[in-house]
Amino acid sequence: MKISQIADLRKQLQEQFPGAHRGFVEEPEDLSFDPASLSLPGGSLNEVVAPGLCSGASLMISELLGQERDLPLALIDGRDSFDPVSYGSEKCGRVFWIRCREAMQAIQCADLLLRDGNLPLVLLDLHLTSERELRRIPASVWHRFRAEARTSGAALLALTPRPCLPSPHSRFTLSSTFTLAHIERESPTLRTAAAATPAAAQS
Amino acid sequence: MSYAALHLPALPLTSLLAREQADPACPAALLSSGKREKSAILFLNEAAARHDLSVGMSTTRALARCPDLVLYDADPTLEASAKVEALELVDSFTPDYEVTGRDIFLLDLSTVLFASPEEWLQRALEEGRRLGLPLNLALAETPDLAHLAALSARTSSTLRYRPKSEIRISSEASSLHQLPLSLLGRSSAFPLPQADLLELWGLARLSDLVALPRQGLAERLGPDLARLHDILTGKHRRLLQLHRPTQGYHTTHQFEPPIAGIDPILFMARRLLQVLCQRLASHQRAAESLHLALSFENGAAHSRHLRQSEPTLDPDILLRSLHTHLDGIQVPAPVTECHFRLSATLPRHSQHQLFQRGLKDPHQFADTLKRLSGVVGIDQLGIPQPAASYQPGLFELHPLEADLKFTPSEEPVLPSGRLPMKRQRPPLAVHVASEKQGRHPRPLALLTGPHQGTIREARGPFPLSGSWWEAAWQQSEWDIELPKNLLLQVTHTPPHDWHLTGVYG
Repeated sequence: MKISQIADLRKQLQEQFPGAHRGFVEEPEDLSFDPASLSLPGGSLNEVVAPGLCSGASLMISELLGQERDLPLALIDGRDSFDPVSYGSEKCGRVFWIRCREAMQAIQCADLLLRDGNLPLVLLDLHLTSERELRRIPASVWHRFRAEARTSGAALLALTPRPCLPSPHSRFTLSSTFTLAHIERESPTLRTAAAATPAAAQS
Repeated sequence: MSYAALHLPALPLTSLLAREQADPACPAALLSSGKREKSAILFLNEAAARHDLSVGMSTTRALARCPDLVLYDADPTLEASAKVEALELVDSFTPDYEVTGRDIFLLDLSTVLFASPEEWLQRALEEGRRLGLPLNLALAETPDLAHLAALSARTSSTLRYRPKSEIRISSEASSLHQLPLSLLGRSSAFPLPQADLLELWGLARLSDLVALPRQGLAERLGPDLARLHDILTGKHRRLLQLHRPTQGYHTTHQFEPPIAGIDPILFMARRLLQVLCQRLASHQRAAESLHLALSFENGAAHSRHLRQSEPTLDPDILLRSLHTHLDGIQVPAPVTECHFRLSATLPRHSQHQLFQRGLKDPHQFADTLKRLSGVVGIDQLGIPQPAASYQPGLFELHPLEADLKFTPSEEPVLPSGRLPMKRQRPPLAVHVASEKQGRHPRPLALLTGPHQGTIREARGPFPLSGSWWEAAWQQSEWDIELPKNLLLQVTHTPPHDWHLTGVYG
């Protein structure tokens, strides 16, 4: 069966049985993504997946630091890769940077900050973490984080190379591509390949 | 039982006997000043009282009745030091107490937690052993009833030396009314007017006075007797005139035997810090910092100044800070003694900003910062700021205080480019195929490292150098694009070293 036939069949089924397709939102690919529109309610776990090395993870952090906040954003740097020179002194003044050497150290720090709940947004950067280290993180960690976040009211945003969190409140996949021209001349923009709606993410 | 009374019977005499280590079975008396022939007896011990001696009796008459009577002259210095020790003992029970007389203290126990009155009495009398003096301790619902009960050994729990210390716990507070009416004369707090008339009426015990109708008593003998009637029936509850000693906020506890873990220290610290915080609160002060000193069995010592994020009166916050610190130290030997000292300051009163969000719990955050420091290291967290230098990757890390006070540099440093970079720390040495182009080689392909491949496009060189006057450094940076839109930064350090320094995006 051809792909076009499958698409037609899916469309007919969706029209015939709309209730069966509730929660499924077909996203057009390669949407422009504005982190300011990102909803991070207190007590929630969220995930931004950056599958490639240059798919916009650093730009995402930069956009988050560009937002005005009363309290600093806690950045748990899983591979000690944050470069203050790239962000400038103004954005750096809004981040509380914790330099970790390995993933489990970052998990411990996230645990402490979520339990504490004084900083409303905790950004756990596991983007450069190796697959081997990611596999070592037990799934129970994320369930514990969810319980701690609910209690303390802090929100967690995990930046990962592949989907790691079970049932996050929201999950976005970055698909930006950049060229050398973006480093100095052109304004880089974040793009997302697929955005999971909260309803779909929790189902 | 909200009040306790601690009575040190015949304190001027017993302090002398304790210093002389005299036999308690030997009759002894303290004389008034002046010539021996004209002097009178001021205080007697229990052994002397059994020889039918009484206070106020002349010395010659007393010696006639009891030739073995040992006579002492008053020593005001010794009495004062004994009273200071007694005050310290009382203060360790509760900070709310009244110095009712030279030898009696009334304690407000409404803020003290204890399992049962007997348990508290036992514990208090065991603590009282350090005075080395006989004690009477009584509990009652009102301060005056506790005072009366403590005046008699029958209605109070006692600590005596015969010659070893003996503790007797008494729960016979209900038998208070069986005491003789003359007991009221032992304390100036209970003036008994017309005592002779009452004796003529045949009133011998306190219960006899209680049995009389209050209204008739007030009409016939005046309001003083009515007040006494109210005291004895528990209807009169006066306020204590609290004693506020001018002393530091410190306390010491000795562990006997020495303890090995930190749990007993924390257990004891909770109680001691609670007392110290109550003392601070009563002086409208708060704790700015906690000084901890530990002494170990091998002679070693450990001390640490634990500064709080903001002044506090909550013992749990101090305890949490102490717990975090003790978790991180190695105990070289069993602990023999711990000492806590609180630095007092004025409590902070700050109004929350209407349009600005602050920390929910600065104390909790300070504790979390300490724990984070324990995980990653104290110099691995803070607010970063790019350094004012051309050397790539240099930055300053300012420690984050619990009050989030951070002043950025006056001259802002702009971002190095539009697309931020993730920096490789430390830079990864790679082999690069390059061609000579002027003074700087141009990279053509990455031969080793995690990202190998032909370079599609390169931007550079960006020659950098500095510190020529001390440790000179020189390098040239290249921004390169590999297949699959991989943007990297590589650095060439003359003559042949190449390093991968970061990934863009």
